[in-house]
Amino acid sequence: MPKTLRFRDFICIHLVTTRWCVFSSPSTSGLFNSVQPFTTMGTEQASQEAPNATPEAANPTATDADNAESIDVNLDEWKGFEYSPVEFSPVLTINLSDEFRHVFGLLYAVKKSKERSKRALDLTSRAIILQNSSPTAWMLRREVVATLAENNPALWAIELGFTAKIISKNEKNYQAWEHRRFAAESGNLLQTEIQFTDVALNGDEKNYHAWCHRHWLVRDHGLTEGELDATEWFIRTDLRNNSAWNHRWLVTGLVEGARNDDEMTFALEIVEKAPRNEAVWNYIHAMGKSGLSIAAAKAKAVECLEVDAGCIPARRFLVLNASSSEASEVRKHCQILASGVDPIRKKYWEMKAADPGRPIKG
Amino acid sequence: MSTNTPSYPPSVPTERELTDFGVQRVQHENIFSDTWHAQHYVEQRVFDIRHARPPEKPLVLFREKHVSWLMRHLQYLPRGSESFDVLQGWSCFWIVHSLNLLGATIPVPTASMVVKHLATFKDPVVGGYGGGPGQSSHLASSFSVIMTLCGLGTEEALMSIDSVSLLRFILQMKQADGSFRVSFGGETDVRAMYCAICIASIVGLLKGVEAEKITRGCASYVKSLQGFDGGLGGEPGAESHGGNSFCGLATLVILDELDAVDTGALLDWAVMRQMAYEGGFQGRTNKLVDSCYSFWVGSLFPLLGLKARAPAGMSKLFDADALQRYVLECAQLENGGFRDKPGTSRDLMHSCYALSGLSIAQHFGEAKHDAKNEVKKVDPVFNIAEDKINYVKEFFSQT
Repeated sequence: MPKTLRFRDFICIHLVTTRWCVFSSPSTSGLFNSVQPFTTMGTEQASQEAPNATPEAANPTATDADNAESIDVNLDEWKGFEYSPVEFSPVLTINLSDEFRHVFGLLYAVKKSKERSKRALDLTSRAIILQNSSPTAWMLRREVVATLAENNPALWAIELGFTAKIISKNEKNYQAWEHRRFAAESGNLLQTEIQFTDVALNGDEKNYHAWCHRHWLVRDHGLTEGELDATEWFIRTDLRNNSAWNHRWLVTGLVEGARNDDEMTFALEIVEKAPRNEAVWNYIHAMGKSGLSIAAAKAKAVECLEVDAGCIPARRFLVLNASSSEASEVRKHCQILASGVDPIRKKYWEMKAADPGRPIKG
Repeated sequence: MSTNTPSYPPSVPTERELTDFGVQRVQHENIFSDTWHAQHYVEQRVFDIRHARPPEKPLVLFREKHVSWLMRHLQYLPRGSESFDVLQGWSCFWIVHSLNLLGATIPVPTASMVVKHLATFKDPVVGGYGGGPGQSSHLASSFSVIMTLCGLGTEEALMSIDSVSLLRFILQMKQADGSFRVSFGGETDVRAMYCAICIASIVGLLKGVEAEKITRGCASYVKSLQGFDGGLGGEPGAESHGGNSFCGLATLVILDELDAVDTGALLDWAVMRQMAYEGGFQGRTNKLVDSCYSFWVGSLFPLLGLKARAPAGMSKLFDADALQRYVLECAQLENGGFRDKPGTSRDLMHSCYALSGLSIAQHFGEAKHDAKNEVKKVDPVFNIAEDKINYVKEFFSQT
């Protein structure tokens, strides 16, 4: 296992620049050119046309009341398709814009119809730009893409671009991440997905959705290659990042022989840097439970406590991993924790002290 | 004087205050990583609030302010709330449940309007409820609608629940491995499972002939979520997380399958989520305090206490007074509503779960409080006021 960073530093720089291209400059990205027209349709086009467009010009057959509502919305493509705009609800009334009411009113009607067409795809894009986490819009999009991609497999890559755009705006969006899994899997485009999560994690190193995406790639698609180096990079960047430790745990469970004594040495090296880091102690504790020897870790914990009696995770580690012959030691540790070092968990430590050696079963 | 905002000009903290704070707060140990910076900043803001509050002034629950803030939202949501259009059921639940905990009575005509509005969310084709009229069915939306109706607790509300339609939808969301999707093509995680099992249990579907089809494989799925540190993640391999731990554990409680996970390890994990200085809970190891985990993590203790042969006092193993203090002092706003943490704005979701957590602290953790601060007792499995859930259970056992 590498103890120093080699290619990861470089990749990070590479990704920062990639991110700039992918997220900030649609014109430089092929994927985004196809998304561009309908994303701006609602704002630019409507505002350009609105001053000149008369109600008659917008929709010659509609009544005055209809025109008053549809003038800024511009859903010309859908002329003749019957729908009713989203109504203002009698409770929890939301000040919905006309655009929102028409786009979603139409979308709900399309969802109920059998139409799964290019214009329906454009409509979902526009709806999702307005409201990133509308399950109905994403559901319709999924159905439309599945239909259209039968004749146009290139759509899957466009979907990756579209989800990237939404995720870059709203990185905790359940639907966009799920849609991305669907598109990457259907289009067999999994190879760049790890890099994509790298980009997302560059903005937030603990983004739960991005890590789950990565767990999915590792767990269901076996993409474990490079993940030990990657998690080491995340850990060395912020050794308190429990998300990275968790992912490392998953990876070491899948890679043959990865949960070994070297892994324990690595963890203890991280302990050395900042002993009050609960994440690494939990990791060591779990390695112990999986069968590795924790003798060195226990010695390290004792060593840490000699320097810093307030090192709660080290003391907790000794309590959780005591053998039956160490009952008096455990009692002593629990008393120290309960009485001064960790007063917020006083009752818990007192309970542990009262019955050392036996875990408290919930 | 305000309890939330520091006094101006600020007084200088005493040496004693600073020393105590220095001992209690998280140490950087010469590794100034992002985690430490974020934590350091929050602690400083909490310290500022505590320093500015006169020590002799008791903590109070601004009950009337919360009620009027919530009632206002039940009528109109503020500008810029378009994203709440898909969360209409959730918004109703957060408001109705918060009002119940505060002991406020929702006027019958208002309740009736809410019931009629929620009825328009029904999806007649696939069953279940969407996030608003015309929207596609979703397990989380269905959950929020059913829980709102239970929270309202009127006969009209409970009569409007169509358990046959719910069953149809729930069974369509069931996956081969026992898990649930939230919707057609939606994500698969333990939230979906909790929503499905919770509403199925409430409306009596788990006693019906189709019960096995709903519950099949649930316990083993939850078992696969237990992380290396003992908590539960959202999907297999995911990081242990307060909200997901609640969903998983509550599911097991409803199914009476608590033996499926290592509850001792889960307790060891849960107890560490309480923040030494702030007093509230974090949702994950080395993350920040957040008032919504007052309920998600706080409720784990009474839930673990439900296990057969659990030691007495399990539900009190966290520091309830510290939790109550965080909620009332740092999350509560004196013009109504609760926020995630100092520096964020109030919202309905955090108000709901901060109040639910406060109830856990007062009624299960036995936090010291007087009648003025007391909120109603919450049911830790269903997160509904206890009097309401008892009535609902009785109602559905008769139908």
